[in-house]
Amino acid sequence: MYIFIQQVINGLTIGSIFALIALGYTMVYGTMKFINFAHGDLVALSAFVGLTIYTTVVSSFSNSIIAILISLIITIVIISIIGYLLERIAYRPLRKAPRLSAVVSALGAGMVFQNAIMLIWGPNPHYYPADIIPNKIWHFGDSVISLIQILILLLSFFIMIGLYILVNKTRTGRAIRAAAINQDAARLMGINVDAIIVIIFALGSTLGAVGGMFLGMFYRGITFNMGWNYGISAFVAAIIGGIGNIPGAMLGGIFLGLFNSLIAGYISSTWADAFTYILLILILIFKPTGILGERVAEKV
Amino acid sequence: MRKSAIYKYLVFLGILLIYPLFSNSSWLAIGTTFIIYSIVALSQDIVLGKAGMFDMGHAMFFGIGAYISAIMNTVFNIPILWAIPVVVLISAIISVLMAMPTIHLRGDYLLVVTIGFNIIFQQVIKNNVFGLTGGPNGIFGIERPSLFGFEFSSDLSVYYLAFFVLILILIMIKNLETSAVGRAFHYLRLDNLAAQCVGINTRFYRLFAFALGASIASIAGVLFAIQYTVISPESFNLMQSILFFTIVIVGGMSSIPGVLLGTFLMFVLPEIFRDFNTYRYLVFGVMMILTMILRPRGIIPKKFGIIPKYLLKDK
Amino acid sequence: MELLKIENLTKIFGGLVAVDHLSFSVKKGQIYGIIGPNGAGKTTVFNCLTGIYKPEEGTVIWKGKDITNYPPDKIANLGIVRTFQTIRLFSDMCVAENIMSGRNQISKQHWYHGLIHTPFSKRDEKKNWLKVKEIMELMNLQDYATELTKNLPYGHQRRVEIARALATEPELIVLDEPAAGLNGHETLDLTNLIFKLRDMGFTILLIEHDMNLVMNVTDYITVVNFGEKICEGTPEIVQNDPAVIEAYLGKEDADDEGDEDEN
Ligand SMILES: Nc1ncnc2c1ncn2[C@@H]1O[C@H](COP(=O)(O)OP(=O)(O)OP(=O)(O)O)[C@@H](O)[C@H]1O
Ligand SMILES: [Mg+2]
Repeated sequence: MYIFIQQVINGLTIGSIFALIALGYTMVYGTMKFINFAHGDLVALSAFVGLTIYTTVVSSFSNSIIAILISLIITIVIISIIGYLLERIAYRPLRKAPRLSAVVSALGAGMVFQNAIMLIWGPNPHYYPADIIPNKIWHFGDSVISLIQILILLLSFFIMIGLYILVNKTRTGRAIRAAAINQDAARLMGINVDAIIVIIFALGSTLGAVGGMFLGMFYRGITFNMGWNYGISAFVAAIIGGIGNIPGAMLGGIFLGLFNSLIAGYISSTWADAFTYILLILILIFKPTGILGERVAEKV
Repeated sequence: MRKSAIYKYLVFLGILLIYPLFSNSSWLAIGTTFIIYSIVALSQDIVLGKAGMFDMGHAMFFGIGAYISAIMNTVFNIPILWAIPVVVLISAIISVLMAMPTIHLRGDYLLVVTIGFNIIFQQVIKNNVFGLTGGPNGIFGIERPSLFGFEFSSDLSVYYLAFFVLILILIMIKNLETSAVGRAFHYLRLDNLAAQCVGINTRFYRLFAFALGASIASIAGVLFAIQYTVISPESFNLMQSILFFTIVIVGGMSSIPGVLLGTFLMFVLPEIFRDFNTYRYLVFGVMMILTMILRPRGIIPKKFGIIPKYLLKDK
Repeated sequence: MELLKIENLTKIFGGLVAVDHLSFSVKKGQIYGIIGPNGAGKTTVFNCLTGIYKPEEGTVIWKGKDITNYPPDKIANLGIVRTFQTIRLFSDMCVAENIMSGRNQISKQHWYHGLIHTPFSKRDEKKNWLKVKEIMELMNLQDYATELTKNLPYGHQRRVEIARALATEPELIVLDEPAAGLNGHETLDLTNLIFKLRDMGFTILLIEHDMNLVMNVTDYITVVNFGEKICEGTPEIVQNDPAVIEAYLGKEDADDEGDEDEN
C-alpha cells in the first residue's frame, strides 16, 4: 500500500508539471492548429535561465523562497518575450502556409533553442542547489511528501485555477475561445486575432517557464536536451485530454503523471515509455479525439 | 516523362555513378548512407507526401529491416540478401496491423500514434527482447552478402549495390506516379471525401501506401545493416524519424527531386560542416525556419498538370 | 421503373431534426428536383443518400437493393455520383487529372501495376485518359486540360466537377445547386447540359434555388421545409400549391436566391 501512496504523490507532482507544459501545447493548437514542437525546448531553456538568475540573486536575499519567487518572475518575463519572438519570427509568416511547414519551422526552432542552451551552458548537466527549498518532509505511515512537492502541487493548482478563470470568465478568455473555434469569424466580430495569438504564446510560455523551473527544483539535474523528452510527454498528455481542450490538458497531465509513476512503481521503469504509448494508442483507437474530446465539425 | 526531366535524372545518377572516384573511404561511406537515406526518404514520401498521412515514426520500419536481416544473418546464418523478401513481408504485415485501427485518425493524432510506435519499437530493441536484439549495444558481425559468386566485401561494392537499389526504387516510384494507384494517393490526400465520392476506396489505398512505404524503408534497412555490419538502436530512433519527415517537407512533398535534395541538405550538408561542430545545428535550425518561410511548399514543390501528350489539343 | 427510393429518411444533428421522415422516389430517365428554403435539409438528404452521413432512420433503396449505411465509395461504384454545393475539386491538380479521378475505380489496374507497368496496364492507362479527353470535349473543357483547377473561374470549376462525376459512368447524377454562383449565360449552358445528359441516358437528381432553372428542366419536384416534405408533383402543380407558396415562394422572389448565408 505504501508504494501506492508514494507513487500517487510522486505521480501527482510530475503530473501537475506535465499539465503546466501541456497547456502550452494545447492552447497553441487550439487557435493555430499546429503542434508547437519548440515548446519542450523552451521549457528546458526556462530551467537554465531560472537557475542562472537564482544563483545570481540568491545572495541578496535572506530567504531562498523569496529568491526563488523573484527568479521565477524574471524567468517568466524573459521566456514570454522569447515565446513572443518565436511566434513572430518562426510562425506568423507561415499562417497561410501548409500546416506541416509550421511544424517543420517549430522543429527548427526547437533545434535552435537546444543548441543555444548547449552553447551558453555547455553540454554537461547543471544542478539546482539542494537547499533551494528547505528540505522538509512529512511522513504518512511509510510514504513521504516533501515541501517541494507540496509547493509544486499548490502553485500548479492555483495557476490552473487562475487560467481557468481567465479563459472562462473574462473578455479576453472569451476572445481566446472564439478564436479557437473559428479565426475568421472571430476576426469578423472585431476580435484582434493577432493580439490573441500573442497572448496565447505569452501565457503558454509563462506556464512553460514555471514548469521548467519546477522540473529543475524537483529533479535538480537539468540538461540541454531534456526539453524534448518532457515536451513529448506533455504533448502526449495534451492529446490524451483532447488537444485544444484546456481542462483536457490539465486532466491529461495529471493522468499521465499518475500512470507513469504507477507503472514505474509496480511494473518496470525500463518499459514505462512503451506502456505510456500503448495507453495513448488505445485511448485514440477508442476515443479518436482524446478523453474530453476536441471541437471539430466538418460540414459537407 | 519530359525530356528535360530525364536529363536531370541522368545527370544526378551520373554524378552518383562516378562519385566514388573522387572520394576517400569516409566520404564513400557518407555517399552510401546518402543513397540509403534517400531510399528511406522516398518511402517516407509515399506515406507522407503522396498519401498525406502524418507518419513521424518511419525510422521504425528502417529499423525493422535492419534488425530482422541482422538477426537472420547472425543468429540463423542466412545470407543477408535472402532476408529481403522476409523483411519486406514482415514489415508490410506489421505496418498494416498498426495502421488498421489507427489509419482513420486525423492528421496530428496519427502523428503521435506513429511517434508512439517508434518509441515502443525503441524500447523493444533496447530491452533486448528474446535476447535477440542485443540491447543498447545492438548487433555486431553482420556478414556482407555475395551474389552469383560475387562478394560484396568492399565498401565500394556496397556503394554500387545501394546505387542499384536506388535506381530500382526510382523507377518504381516513377511508375507509381503514372498509375491509378499513385493518383489515388494524391486524390485522397487532397480531398478524402471527394475521392470517396467518385468511388475510390480510400481506406484501402491508405493501408497500401503505408505497407509500401514500410516495405521500401525496410529494404533500406537491410542495406544499412550490410553497409555498417553493426547496428544499434540510435540509428532508428525518433530523431531519425523526424529527420526523414523533415526531409520530405523541406524538399517538397511528393516531389522526387525535392526529396533527394532534401536528403542532401539534411544529411550530407551537416557532414560537410562537421568541423563547425558546435554551431552547425544552431545554424541548421535557423535554416529550417528560413526555408519554410521562403518556400512553404518545400524547395522543389511537386508540379501537377503533367498529362500524356495525346490529350493536349494540337496547338 | 423506380431507380432510387428513399423511405422515411430521418437525420438528426444533436437536437435538430434536419430531415424528418422524408420519402420520395426517382424513376429512370427523370430529371428530379428537390427544392426548399435555406436550411430545409436538402443537402443533408444528399449526404445520407451518398453515404456521407448515416441516417437515424429510414432506408435508401437503389434498384431494389437496400444501400442504407453503405460507405460513399461503394455507393459511387453502384452508379450514384454527386457534386457538392461548395465545390470540392482536387484543387492543386489540373482539369484532366481531376476528371481522371472518376476513372480510378473503372480502371482495371491492380495494386502491383503501381509498381511495375505491363503492356496491359499501359493500355488501360491510355484507354482511361482517352475517355477523359472525350469527356473534356463533351464539357468544352479541352482548352483548360492542364490548367490547375484552383486557378479556374467558378463556372468552369462547376463544369469540371460535373465532368469528374460523368467520368465514373454513373446512372444517377446528383447535383447540389449546380447553378449557384453562375452568371445568366452560364446558367443557360447548364440548362442545355442537363437536357443533354438526360438524352444520353443519365438520370438526374438536383437541388436548386434558381426557380427558372428548376421549373424549366425538372420533370418532377419534391418540396422540403424543415426536413419534411410539404408537397410533390410536376412543376405546374408545385408552383400553384398554397403550402409551397407560403413556405417558400411567398417568402422570396420566385426568381433567384443566393446561398450566401451559409454558416
Ligand atoms: N454536419 C452538421 N452538423 C450539424 N448540423 C448540420 C450539419 N449539416 C447540416 N446541419 C444543419 O441541418 C440543417 C439542414 O442543413 P442542409 O445543409 O441540409 O440545408 P439545405 O437545405 O441544403 O440548405 P441550403 O439551401 O442553405 O444549402 C441546417 O439547420 C444545418 O445547419
Ligand atoms: Mg444545401
